[in-house]
Amino acid sequence: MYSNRISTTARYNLLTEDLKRNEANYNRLTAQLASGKKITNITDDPIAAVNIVNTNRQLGQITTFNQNTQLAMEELDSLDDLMELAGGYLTQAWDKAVQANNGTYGVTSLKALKVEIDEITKTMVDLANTEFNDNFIFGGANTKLTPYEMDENGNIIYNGTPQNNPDYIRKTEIADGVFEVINTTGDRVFGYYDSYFESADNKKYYPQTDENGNTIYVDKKGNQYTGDESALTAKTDYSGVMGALKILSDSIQEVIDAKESGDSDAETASYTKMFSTLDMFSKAHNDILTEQTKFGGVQNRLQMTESTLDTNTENLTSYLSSLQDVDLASAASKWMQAQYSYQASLQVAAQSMNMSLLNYM
Amino acid sequence: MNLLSSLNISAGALSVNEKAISVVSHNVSNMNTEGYHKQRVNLQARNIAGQIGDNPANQVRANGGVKIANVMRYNDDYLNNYYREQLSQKNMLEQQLGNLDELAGIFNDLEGTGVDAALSKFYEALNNLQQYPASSTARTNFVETSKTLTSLLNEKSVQLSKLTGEALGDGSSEDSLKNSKIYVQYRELNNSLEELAAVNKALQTTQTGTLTANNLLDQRDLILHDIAQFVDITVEESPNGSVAVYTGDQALVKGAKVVGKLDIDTAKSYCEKHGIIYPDEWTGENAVLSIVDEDGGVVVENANSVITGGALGGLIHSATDYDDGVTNAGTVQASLDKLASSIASIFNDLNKRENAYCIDPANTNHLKATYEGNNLFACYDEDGNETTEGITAANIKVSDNILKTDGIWNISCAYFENGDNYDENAVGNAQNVIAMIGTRNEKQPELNGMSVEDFYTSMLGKIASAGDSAKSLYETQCDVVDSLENQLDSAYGVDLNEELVDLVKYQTAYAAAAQVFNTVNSCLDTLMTLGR
Repeated sequence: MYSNRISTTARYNLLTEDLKRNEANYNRLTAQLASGKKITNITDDPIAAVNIVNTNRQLGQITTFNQNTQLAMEELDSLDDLMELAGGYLTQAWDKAVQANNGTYGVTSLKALKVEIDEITKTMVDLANTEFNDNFIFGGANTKLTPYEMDENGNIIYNGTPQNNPDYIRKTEIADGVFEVINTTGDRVFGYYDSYFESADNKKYYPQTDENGNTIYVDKKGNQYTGDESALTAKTDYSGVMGALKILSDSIQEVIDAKESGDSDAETASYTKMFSTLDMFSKAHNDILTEQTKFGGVQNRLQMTESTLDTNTENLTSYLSSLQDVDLASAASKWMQAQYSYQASLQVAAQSMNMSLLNYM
Repeated sequence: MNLLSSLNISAGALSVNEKAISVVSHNVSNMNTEGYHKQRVNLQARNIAGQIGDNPANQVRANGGVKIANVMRYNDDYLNNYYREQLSQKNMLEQQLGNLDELAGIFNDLEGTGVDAALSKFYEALNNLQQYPASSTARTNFVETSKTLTSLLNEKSVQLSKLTGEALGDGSSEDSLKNSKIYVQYRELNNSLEELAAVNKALQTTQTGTLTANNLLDQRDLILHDIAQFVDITVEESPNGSVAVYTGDQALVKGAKVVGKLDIDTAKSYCEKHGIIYPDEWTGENAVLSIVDEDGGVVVENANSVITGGALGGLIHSATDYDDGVTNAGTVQASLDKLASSIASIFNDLNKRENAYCIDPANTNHLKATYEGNNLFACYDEDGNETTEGITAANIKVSDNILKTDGIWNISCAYFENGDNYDENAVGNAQNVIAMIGTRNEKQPELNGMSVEDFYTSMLGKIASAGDSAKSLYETQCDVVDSLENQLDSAYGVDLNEELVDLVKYQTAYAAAAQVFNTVNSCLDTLMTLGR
């Protein structure tokens, strides 16, 4: 008996509900159009929301990697420039070494050569002490400690960390979990010259003259050697272009001394020593070239990484847009539809609300 | 004397139609009254007793005109019960959805302002630190992003507690309980129970025969719908129209008595009464409902598990982690705490590990061995003592150790794989920072085998999908309830056309009866003049 019955209250309620539904739909589409975003709340579309958060994170990571890559490339650029310069000075010194070995040079010419060699040495040390962004480039992990110092004994001491040790390399992250080594070390590129006295417990001591004119032995930290002087053994470590320059300079001086004193045996021995530097220069030149080639490769990789990162950024940005941005054309047409149906329901409601038998009595 | 009986019959008809019109008038007046059920006058022919035998005149004599058999109230008990069931469900879902909506609002990280963005910034700062481990700028930047991360975690935790507090109170303070949603609902429910008992009482004294007390029944049904909004109930009706109401097996109202009134307590005072150490041993809700009888005797001590449906059921269970895979404010709080404590332990362990080195503040070009207690993150007890035990999202802080003057140098950036390689000048060593960056993709066993960021995103995903599914559940339930309301409205609402037709019907009958009366009257007049 009730099945076909519809009461006036029910009819009013139905109309109100339909109006509300249409209004809600219309409001939702209006908000979408106004904000330009498909989803404004994570519950609107959970999967898209998680994807948006993940994509934003990836984009942030890529920005970091991009910055890292840029910075690394700048540092490597200056590294390359410095090694190029070092190679140039090395070639100059090498030429001087060939000239000095000539045997026909007199004492004056040799003295002039020695001055030039010493100048090149100083320039080389300055080069090796170059900073990039407040960090010493050639100091390995010792970025705040001047890598090279020349002491009064003529040593060219390397203060940086040794090459090829994973505890001392500097790296930068260029992709998720991918690190690229961005530094070389001074001992690999420039070498060193270290002449010292070794104590029985393998510690290095350097001779100094104290205020009374006596020779004392002191380590790098300024601690004086207190043991028996006879237990100290003189030692000389050297390598690379620094070693070659120092030995060249020393041997020229020895030749000059020998020539001036007329000691022909000593002169021959000194010339032999001087001749050995030619090989050292050749080897040092190779070392620098090897490092240059190695970091040229790193630079190439970084450039490739940069373009990969750019592509990734583009892809991710467009993915993000597809996730969260409204397709304006379809949203606008849906909005128009919603507007029409809202209008229609308003009209129907207005006209049918007061329909009853009452109008005809 | 047929003429006189006709006079009586039509007089009766006049009075019956008058009454019928008054029922129509009652209907029309109440067409917009909430919970009003349309009434209908059922007419019946009056039969005058007496033997009829073979005399047709006796047949005529048996006709006594019309009488009102009863005034029927349109109703459908089955539909009412079903409606109440669905209404409870709808209100429960509404509370759950409200809770999840607010949760989703707290964790709406789409604009890059949430914990996720703070974590990204934190790792970016680590990346920067890795390039310049000895730079005070990079270190300060790292400390600042760590502060942003911890204060964001604190803030989210506060928002979560506030959300829980708004729903159930903070668990210890009476004031916060009295300002909570559950308190308002509990009071409204108790009021409704009292009202029902009063109506029951009225019904017991009114509906004493076979006829129904229609308007009281309307009131009763309306109150039942109200009660069903708060808890799911089953209703037993007695012949006098009064009802007994149960939630589960627990009686709330029986006849004129409220036999199961609700009482509410903070978790703290409940624990005090029952010898439970709060909050350490308490894993339940912040508010505890109990059921007491009319004399105040406790019937059910902790009724939280009894009350599962309706707004009250939805609300009481909306903020506690039951470890059943359902996402709510309680589980999110637990996840966030887990995240905070795991971030703290990961980075503290790395900062303090053997062969890790921080920088000597006295000479920032030198490394210094890290030490026990060199924490990056910590929490502080009431006396301000630092501890790493019991770190939660609410209390995680960047350690004072790092925040103090020169504290930035306590970040251990250097690490020597081979301890013998230690060189105090190697401030460019950033191996420890690389290890810290490495944790970005590291799966953490305590975070269900996910990385820090994945754990957070997965929590976010859970909130989002719980919110989404609650929304569609709620919308479906709304449709069900709406459609039931329509059915109910259709079943017992007042229809104007029907009433107007009835009105005309009774008016016509009234006019006709009056005409019959007049005609009979003039017949009588004629009779009087007979034979003059």
